[in-house]
Amino acid sequence: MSQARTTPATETATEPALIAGAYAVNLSEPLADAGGGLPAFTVHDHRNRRLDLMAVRCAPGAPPRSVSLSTLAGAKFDNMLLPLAHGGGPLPAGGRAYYVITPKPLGTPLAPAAGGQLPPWRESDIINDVLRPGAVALDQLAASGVTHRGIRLSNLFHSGPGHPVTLGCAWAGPPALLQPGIFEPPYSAQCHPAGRGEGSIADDVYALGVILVILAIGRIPMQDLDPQAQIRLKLERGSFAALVGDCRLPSSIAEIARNMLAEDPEHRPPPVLLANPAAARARRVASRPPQRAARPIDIGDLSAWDARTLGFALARAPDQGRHMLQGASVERWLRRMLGDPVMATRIEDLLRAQAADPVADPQLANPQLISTAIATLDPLAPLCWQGVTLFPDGIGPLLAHIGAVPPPDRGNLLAAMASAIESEAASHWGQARPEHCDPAVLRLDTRMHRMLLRIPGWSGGIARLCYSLNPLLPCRSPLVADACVVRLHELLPAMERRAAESNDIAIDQDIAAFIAARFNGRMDSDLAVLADREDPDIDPPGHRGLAQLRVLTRLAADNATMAWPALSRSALHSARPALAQWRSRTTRTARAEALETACSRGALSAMLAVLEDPHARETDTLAAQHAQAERRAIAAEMAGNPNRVASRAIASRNTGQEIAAAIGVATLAVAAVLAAVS
Amino acid sequence: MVARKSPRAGSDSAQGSRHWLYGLLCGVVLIAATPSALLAGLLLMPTVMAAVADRQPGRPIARAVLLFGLAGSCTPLNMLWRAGHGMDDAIAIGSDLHSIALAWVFQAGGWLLTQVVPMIIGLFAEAQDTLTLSRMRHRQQTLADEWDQGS
Repeated sequence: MSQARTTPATETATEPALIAGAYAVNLSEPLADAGGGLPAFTVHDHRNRRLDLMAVRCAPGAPPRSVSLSTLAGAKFDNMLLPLAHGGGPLPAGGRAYYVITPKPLGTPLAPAAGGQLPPWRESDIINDVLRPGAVALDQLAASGVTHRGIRLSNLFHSGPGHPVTLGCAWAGPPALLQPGIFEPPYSAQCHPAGRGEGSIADDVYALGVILVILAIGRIPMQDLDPQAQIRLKLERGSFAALVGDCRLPSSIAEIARNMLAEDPEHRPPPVLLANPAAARARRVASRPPQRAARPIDIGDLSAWDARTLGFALARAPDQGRHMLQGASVERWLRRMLGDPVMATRIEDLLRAQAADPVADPQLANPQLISTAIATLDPLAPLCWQGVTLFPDGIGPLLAHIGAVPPPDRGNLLAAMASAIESEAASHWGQARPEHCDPAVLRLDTRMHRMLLRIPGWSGGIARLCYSLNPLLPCRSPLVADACVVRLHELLPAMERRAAESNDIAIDQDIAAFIAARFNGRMDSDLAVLADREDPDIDPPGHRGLAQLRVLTRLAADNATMAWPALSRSALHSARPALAQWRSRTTRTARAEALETACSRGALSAMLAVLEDPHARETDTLAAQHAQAERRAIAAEMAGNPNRVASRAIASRNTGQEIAAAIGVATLAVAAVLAAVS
Repeated sequence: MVARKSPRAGSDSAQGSRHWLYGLLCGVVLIAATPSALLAGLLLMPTVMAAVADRQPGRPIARAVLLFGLAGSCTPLNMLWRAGHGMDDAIAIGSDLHSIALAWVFQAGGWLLTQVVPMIIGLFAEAQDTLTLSRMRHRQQTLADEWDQGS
């Protein structure tokens, strides 16, 4: 039985819509705190009549994790809210949003209520109720190749002592989007929340380690520090020391947590080991403490004492950092103050390589220098490009997030992302830290991203890339934004409804990018036409309208049994000029009538067939050519008429005279005979 | 150096030879059959005039007039030959206005035919051309109406 707190409905209920043909979201019964930071509602299961389900609503610009949802479909893991289904559902104020259906959590979140205190847990409770079940769940996830990335106090549910915690829903948004920085390793906490990427199971182990520390000390550490200061503290002192501070932990918890909070994810114990705390305690990983300089180097408002903090400082103040890099201050500090000549030489090589490329665009070369320098100083650090910090697999979610950002910031973020993709920043970043990633895979991904970005017209660019990297991102076109169109077969019904409201609608840039991404480029040529302004000197009449009709027809093929009267009317308006491509007036008239008939039936494919009949078009063209030749021949013949009048007079005279001669011969013969007879 | 003769020069030479041959033939006929020649000359006087007046190549008018003249001269010449082909007979027949008139009327008819028949044929041909032109204009209009774009 669910013990999740139910609050009074603050939102107006709307008619339930079935998700996956079975689940109706009941907006009148919101579940407070059950969604781990996202709105959650009770669900009516029309198929199995289950009462223990909830729907977690995705935030705009934060699409759910498609790979995790598909991997975990049908999975049965312990101690975790697994996704059962997902799809569009109603919104209180009208329109639709995307929901992920999971079981309701048992118990309440570990996070204290507002103004409340978090009591310290007993060591045995931490081990038995949190560590073991959490490790078992993470081990099952690791076996599936999926990460959780949502382990935080507000997303762990506990129904009382002796009961295992349940890992909440982490599938209804980009990985680690809602994670407070304290629960993330420094390299992930530095990232833009939407750009943290899938991470690894070691990052989940880290988050679980933070939970252990918090429960053991009975408070959330570093709450008085801003997120940047938290990261800096973790980098300088190490995560475990930064989190524990002066508090004393039970020795068993301290040993396990120290391992779980290791800076290098390779050094953290795997979940299977954590399921056996005794073995986890016995594990010793020899990790070298960071080398500390004799004197700090100041970049921006940060004084860096070690290489990783220096990398963080460069990411925060890239302009000043670049000047210091190019002025050799950083190299000197590394060599003299930190005593790391190897790293100093690598930085020197970077600068030399940049200087050796005089034709490089400074707009790209400078961020490239910063990015590579950071990766050299701290191989665990994320990619930093023009102030935007992310992991390469976070590009998709970050692009989706940028789409929901208000305009002034959106432009800057988009420009930075476009620049990063265009210059293949992720590939260069990967090459600078090959021991922590697969540079070949990164290069392939980067090339693909750049290729999509460079596709001209509406079927390419940032929008196409965004939809390609976010398979569950709803189409953002103002025409269908309210309908939460995620899959292609949902697009046409939404457009039909919109067309019924406003008579004339057309495929816009967002819809085109959405279609291009979901069709995986198979309609790029037609979609590219839609972006062009029709040039009557080059393009045949109705060129755009015909391309649009072709796209709509292809979409309608997935909904073959339905008619689209409103869309057909709208398409007719733009496609009718294409009739002029038929040369014969009779054919045009007949096809115009057929077009109207098909339109009245709402048959898009029939409309296209009327306008685009290759065999008939070929016949029409040939007939037109013949007609043209015939007209030329007639004109030439008529132009030669005066000459023919003269020749006709001569011919008439000659023929007449010949006839007269012939009559004369006949007369002579008759006369001769008569004379002879008489 | 040998001068090459032009084709035109050859043609003129052949025509001249033919004229000489005709003249010789006429001379022989005049000597051998003087009464017939006299009567024929009288009867075919319009033909001679037509031959002089007709400047067309091949003298088609004179040819038709000649054929009709010969047709009209058959009976008087036959009478001459049956009467014994004497000079007196020739004068007597040649003095007969009826015979002369008949021969000359025949020749006038022949000349008339050379004028009328071409005119009639010309009228027919013109009518046919007008009809063809009209059909072409109609076809052109039909094509223009049907293929009013690009053709």
